[in-house]
Amino acid sequence: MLLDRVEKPARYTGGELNSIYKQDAEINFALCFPDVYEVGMSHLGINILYEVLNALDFVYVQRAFCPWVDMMDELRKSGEKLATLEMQQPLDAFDLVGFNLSYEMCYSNVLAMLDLGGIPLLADERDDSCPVVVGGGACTVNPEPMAAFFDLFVIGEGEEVTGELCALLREHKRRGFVRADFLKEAAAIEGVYVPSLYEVAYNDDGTVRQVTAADGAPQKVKRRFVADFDAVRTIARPVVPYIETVHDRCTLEIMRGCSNGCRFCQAGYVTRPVRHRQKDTVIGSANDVINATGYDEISLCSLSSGDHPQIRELIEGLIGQFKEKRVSVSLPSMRVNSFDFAEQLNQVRRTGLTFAPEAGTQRLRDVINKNITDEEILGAAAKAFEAGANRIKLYFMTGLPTETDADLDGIADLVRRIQGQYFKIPKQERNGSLTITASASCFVPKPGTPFQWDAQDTVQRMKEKQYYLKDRLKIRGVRFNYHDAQLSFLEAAFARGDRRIAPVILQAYKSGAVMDAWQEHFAYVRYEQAFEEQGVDPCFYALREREYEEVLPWAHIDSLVSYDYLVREREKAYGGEVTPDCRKTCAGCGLQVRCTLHGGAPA
Amino acid sequence: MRVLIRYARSGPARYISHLDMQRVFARAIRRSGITVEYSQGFNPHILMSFASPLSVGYATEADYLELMVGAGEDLGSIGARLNDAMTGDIEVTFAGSLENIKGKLMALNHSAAYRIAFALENAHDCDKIEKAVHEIMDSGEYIVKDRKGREKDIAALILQAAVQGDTVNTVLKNSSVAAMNPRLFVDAVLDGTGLTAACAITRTECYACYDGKTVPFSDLCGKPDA
Repeated sequence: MLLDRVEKPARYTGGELNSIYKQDAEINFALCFPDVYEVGMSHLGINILYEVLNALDFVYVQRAFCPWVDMMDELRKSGEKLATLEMQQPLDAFDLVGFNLSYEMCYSNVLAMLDLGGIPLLADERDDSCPVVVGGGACTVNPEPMAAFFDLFVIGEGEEVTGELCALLREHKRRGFVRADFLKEAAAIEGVYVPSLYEVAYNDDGTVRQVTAADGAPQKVKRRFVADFDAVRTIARPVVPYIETVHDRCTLEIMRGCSNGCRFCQAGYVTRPVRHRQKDTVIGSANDVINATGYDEISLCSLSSGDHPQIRELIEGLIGQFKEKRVSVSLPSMRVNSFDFAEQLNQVRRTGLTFAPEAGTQRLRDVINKNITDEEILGAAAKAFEAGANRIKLYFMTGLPTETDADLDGIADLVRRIQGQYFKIPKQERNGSLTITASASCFVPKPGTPFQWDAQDTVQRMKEKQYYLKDRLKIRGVRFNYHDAQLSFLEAAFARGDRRIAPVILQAYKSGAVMDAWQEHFAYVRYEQAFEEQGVDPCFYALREREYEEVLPWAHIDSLVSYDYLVREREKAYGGEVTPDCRKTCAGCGLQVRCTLHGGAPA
Repeated sequence: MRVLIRYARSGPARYISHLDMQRVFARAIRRSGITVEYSQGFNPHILMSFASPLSVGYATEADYLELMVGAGEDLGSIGARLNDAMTGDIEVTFAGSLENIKGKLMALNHSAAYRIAFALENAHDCDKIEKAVHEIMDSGEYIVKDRKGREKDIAALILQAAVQGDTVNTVLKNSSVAAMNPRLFVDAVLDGTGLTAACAITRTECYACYDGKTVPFSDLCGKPDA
């Protein structure tokens, strides 16, 4: 038995509570997450799609996750195909195989899953008997590097458009599925991008000259978003994993979009407009989920939960309602200035405190529009320490545009000043000694943000900055972590890459790249060789500053945020000028007519 | 009210680890709405403890846990209510009162019975298995190395072993001072035969030692109640 020879066999057995079983659905959909079970089952989008699509009676969605490396070996040895958890059906037996692309470093896993599932890796090698391979999720802001492997992408929020896609496929199946015909009609659905219908031409300098859409396909593919977020179906009976997952609790999505406008943050732009779920709707969902799962923890999820207009009533309502059942409530995404709610949750004492100042100086925070001040951070820390917290996590980025050594010094400075707040408390009142964990990631310019034209630091420079900081953060009680510079470089090349990246990913996969997001499996050399042999220069994508006139590889994917606004934000960034929260003033991002916030007239 | 629960597991549920099994039960209890007692502190948890951890991959027909149930709950319906809230591969088969029993279940463990079914290619391999089992049983002392590389005399820990075709039924010591995982027995048997064969292991009963008597845990409750 295969399962007796692998680690954590419960990753592969299925049979969990609330798994859905159906017979004779017309459309069979394999919903795939290209990382291990514990990561995939923690992904909100996967859980939403599983329930929303299975609510359609003609669709049966089953789950599949990327097997861990030991299971990959076992599958290859035995010749068994990668199958779904519910019915143990191989991926190649499905009508649709959908992948969530949440992070660039999962690309090699997508290829592994296709490969193990018996599906040809390249879209143009699939005949009418093969499943339609669909991609969705965060990386579809620029799907171009993965275009060769997908029949189509769903751009933006998937819960409505995926159902439309299934309905269209049902029609085609009834009259005899012909891939090319289906894809052509699918391209007419708003939010559906069929890469094979677009031709890319390049200039001599390697930049994109133009992207031409075939007849009938839209010149620009518009991102989809759910207009009535409060009303749309969401999670009610999630599958309860047997094994412990990353987020093993009741997660309730209370808001989409974010009004803060941090200039480095892709999610903050490409999930606009800001939409809220009403307090009563959330509490209703909470009751459904808790009754159906037996979870003892509710976590409110959004990009910035403290900004929800009813956050106080919502938390009080949930705590009141679930106190008897001993269900705790937590809020993972808090901005410093909304810290006083966290206190109410008693969470601080228990788990410590997490801040993301992102940059070490006010100047640089203004550049990235992270609108918090040192005083707010220090004030919030002081409050938390008084409440008994003795652990604090700080997230920073290095390599942000305009960064100098003074900004790096600022990080060390801020850490010391936070420590100073702790020592202000009389010794006998302190809760043991303070541990500060400071993490620095390497800035990756992302498409869809005002920094989409910017150069990333070289790997060399990233490392120098890490060592510089490491040196300055040799402080008692302070732990310093930093990200792998080479991984960040690769992420940057993929994030803003074009279709010429695909052969590199394919070759790297064939030479063994898989589970790249797992440090113990990532080897840059596989990609280095692949870039070289394919004659593709990763620096062209990661390190080059673009002109505003350049046709960006993802220019035909319309995030709905206006180009002019992004240019304006970038210019303001370099001028050190902040943009207020959309709730205060509307900055005119292009979505104002469909925005629910009332920030006044566009600037 | 201190309640003893007996459960069985099969199918995919065999692959749930001990820690995960505790969580599976805690959630089922919460879903069932049965009133239970919680620990104090920042992270209150259900007052519940298992008699003996069950290894990943093993099925069971009779494993046990104890649970502190609210005084007003009806003992007779606890099993059915838990089953309504549980996934299909785990079934509660008994619930009884432990009110008059002293000591944690874990401290009462004496031994456990297992059914080991080998997947053999040839019928005459059954004879090899039988021979190897007898060799171990008759040896007086049979030293093997356990997972951590420690030497262990398994002959002293195998209380009973009977071979029937491709299946070995055995009772192994399972107390806090001397215990043995059936995997060691399997490895020793296969070593003795020179065979490589997969096997399915099912725990068929767990025994407690109480008042000088060795009995299935469920017998601690007096009259069976489910």
